[in-house]
Parts: sequence; C-alpha cells; structure tokens
Amino acid sequence: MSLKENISFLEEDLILRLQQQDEAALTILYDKYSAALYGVILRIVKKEEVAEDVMQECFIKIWYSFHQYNKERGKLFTWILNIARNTAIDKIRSKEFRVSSRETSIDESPVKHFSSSFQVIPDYIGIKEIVAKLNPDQKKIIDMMYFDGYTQSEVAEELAIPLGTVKTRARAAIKFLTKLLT
Amino acid sequence: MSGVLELYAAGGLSADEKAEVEQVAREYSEVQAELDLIKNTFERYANLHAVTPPAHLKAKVLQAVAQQKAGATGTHLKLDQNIAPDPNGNGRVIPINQPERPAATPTFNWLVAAAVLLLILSNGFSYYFYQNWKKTERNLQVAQVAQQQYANNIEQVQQQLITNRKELALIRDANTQRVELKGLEKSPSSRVTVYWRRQSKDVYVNIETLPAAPVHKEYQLWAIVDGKTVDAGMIRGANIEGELYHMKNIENAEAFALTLEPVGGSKIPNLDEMYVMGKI
Repeated sequence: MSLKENISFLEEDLILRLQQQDEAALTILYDKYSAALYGVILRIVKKEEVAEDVMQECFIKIWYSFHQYNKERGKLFTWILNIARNTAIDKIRSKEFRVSSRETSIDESPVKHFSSSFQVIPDYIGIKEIVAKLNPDQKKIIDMMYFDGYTQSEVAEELAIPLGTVKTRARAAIKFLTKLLT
Repeated sequence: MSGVLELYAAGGLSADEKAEVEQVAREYSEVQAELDLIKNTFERYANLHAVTPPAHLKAKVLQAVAQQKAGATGTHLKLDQNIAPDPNGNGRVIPINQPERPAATPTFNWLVAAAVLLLILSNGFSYYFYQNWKKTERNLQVAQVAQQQYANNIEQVQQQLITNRKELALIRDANTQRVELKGLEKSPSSRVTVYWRRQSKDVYVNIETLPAAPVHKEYQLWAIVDGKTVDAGMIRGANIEGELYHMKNIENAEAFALTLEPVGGSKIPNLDEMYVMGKI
C-alpha cells in the first residue's frame, strides 16, 4: 500500500469536496491542519482565548471563500496558512491590542507535534534546535515580520538598525533554515 | 533582489513593494521558483510551532461555521443559563433620599435593618444562582464531550465513506476485473473481493468477512497463473474488515487466493492455511 499515493488521493479528494461544500471535509481539514494553524495563530496573538476566536474566524473564512482557492497557484496548506496568519495579524492590529505586563510571553512555547496519520512533520528538528542553532539576531527579524506583523521599515525602526541590515539578516536566516529544514 | 524575496515571504513588505515582487516573479520564472522555495521554508518553520489545540475547540470551530451558515451573527457558543425566576426585590438598591441626619433616627435604623436584611437575602440568592450556574456548567461540559465524540464518530464514518467511494469507482470502471474469493474449508463464511485493473495492473482487495489474523501472522495475497503462485502483497492492520487495500501490481492471473503466513510473508504459500480463493 503506497502511503504517498494515499496522501495525494486524499488531498485531491479533500479539495474536491471542499469545493463542493461537503461539510464533512471541513472536519478532516481541521484534523489535518488545526495544530499547524493554531500554533501560528497562538504565536501571533499570544492569548489562548483570542487564538480560539481567530481559529473560528479562520475556518469560517476558509469555508466561505474556498471558491477563491486555485490549485494552480499553490498548495492547500499554503493558502490556509496565509488565511490564518492574516486573520491573526488583523486581530492584533484591530483594537488597541495591549499585552498586559503580567502576561507570560509565548516566545518559546512548548511545541507539541501533532502527529496525524496524514501529515508528516519532520520531528527530528524541533523548535528548540532551531533556537539553539539559528543566530538570535536573524531569528528576531524573521519572527518580528512573520509573527508580529512588522514591515521591514518597522523592524528597522524598532531595533534601530539600517534597512539593509534587516534584509541581510532575513536572507541569512532563510538560508540557514532552508539547510536545517530540507 | 537579495533579501527582498525573503522579506516578501516573511510578510515584511508593504502592499506596493509586494506588488513589485509579484510583477517580477510573473516575468521571470526563476524568481518565482526561488520565491516558492523560500515560502516552502517558511511553511516548514511555521509548522515547527504547531500546537495541538484544546480538545473542545474542534466542536466550537465547526459549530461557528455552521452557525454562520444559519445566519447567526455570533461566533461564540451561547451558554444556556438556567436562571431561577427572580423573586421580588432582589438586588434592588434602596436609595436613601433623605438629607443627611446627624444621629440615628428610627427611620434611619429601619432603613439600615432593611438594607442588612436585603444583603442577607441577596447573598442567599447569589449562592443559589451560583450553584445553578455550576450545575449548568457541568452539563455544558458533558454536552461538549458528547459533541466531541459525535465529531469523532463522524470522522470515522467519513473514513469509511472515502474507502467506499474508492471501491465504488473501481466497481464501476468497465476495465476492472472483479474476482470473488470464497471461503474454503478453513473458513467457509469468509468473503473477499479482488479488483484487478487490466490496463494498469493495479490490484485492490476488499475484505468483507475474514477472521482476524492471530498475533505473529498476516494474510498474504497470491495471484495464481500457469500453475505458479505470485506474491501480491500483505494485508496489514488491526481492523481488516471493510477496508480497501492497494496491493502489488499483477501482470497476469487466473485466480487469486489469501493464505495466512507469518508476519512479513513467505515466498511460497502455505497451502494448508488458504482461507479464500476465487477464479477469474
């Protein structure tokens, strides 16, 4: 029994059924991707109640705008990850999103790997290894843009470094991550 | 261009800057290719932060989508609070309208007494409401657990549905040869169906009825042709009934059979352990 074949058959099937608005497909989508989405959302909004709200908004968006997903332009996961990230970043920008002083930062959250039978997450490289090996200055740049929603100019301003340095560090970080994660 | 693609993938560019990158990527496929690679890295990086959401969230999310469909505006579960009917006067604040009196007058004393009595009553009712609320909360938890179980059941049903659909597609395909394997002496009630696609040579097996394999043993599928037996793969898994298995490709066959072999299979079938067989 070819595992790879089963995965692609199921993903094709899933996309088809989501396009046909087959509700049960949404459950499968949740099982497959909820951990990845929740982790990113939580890292962005930092509060669990807010993360839960964002998850709901996210799945509502996925469901009601699925007709906009175009297979040719990218993977399903890419599309829904973007929705999750954008929804979360909108949330932290919408109201005066104040992080109270006594709140514990979820910078290095206890990452649990959600091992679903469909998704293969490379669990030999965990976030701890990344933190240990990736240059902290470089990681900061990436995290500020990806998880905190800063633009490059805002990063430069916030860290009081030149724009060029932001670019260089981002490039170095990706190079390193690509080596580590591929 | 150095660094810009990384900024794009990280979400660090303004809307105008993003449009510029997209424009260039459209024109130059190498740029698009590199951008895709970088995006891929980010996805893996994002995946590292995966956190299993709390168990109750699944039902909450699915309900939110369903509620949206029904036109409800709220995205939150509404708590059905079982509040007891309000007896008169609970919580009503008695305004002390009289001008300030220097000493305790009978009216004042009466008001104080009434206020104290009200306070005691109010506490009593608060406690009552609190108990009720606690009970309702427990009921809600029970309901949520039940909902989670229903969701799990639905998922199992969905899995079976996918399997059934696959099998149906096979049955409907005119190019598929269907072979019924009937139970032999060893297990007369067993039933297994083999679907053999003549063109692609793919073989699928559906286990309708077959006794579970004992520990240390597995079922092995054989294709029989020209008096020779050809290994077609193993049937693995704890729950074999109702499953559709994709086996090895078979060029030619006159018949198919299942035998019980040690885990990992054998080169030659153990004919004493043949459970089902069927000819084309």
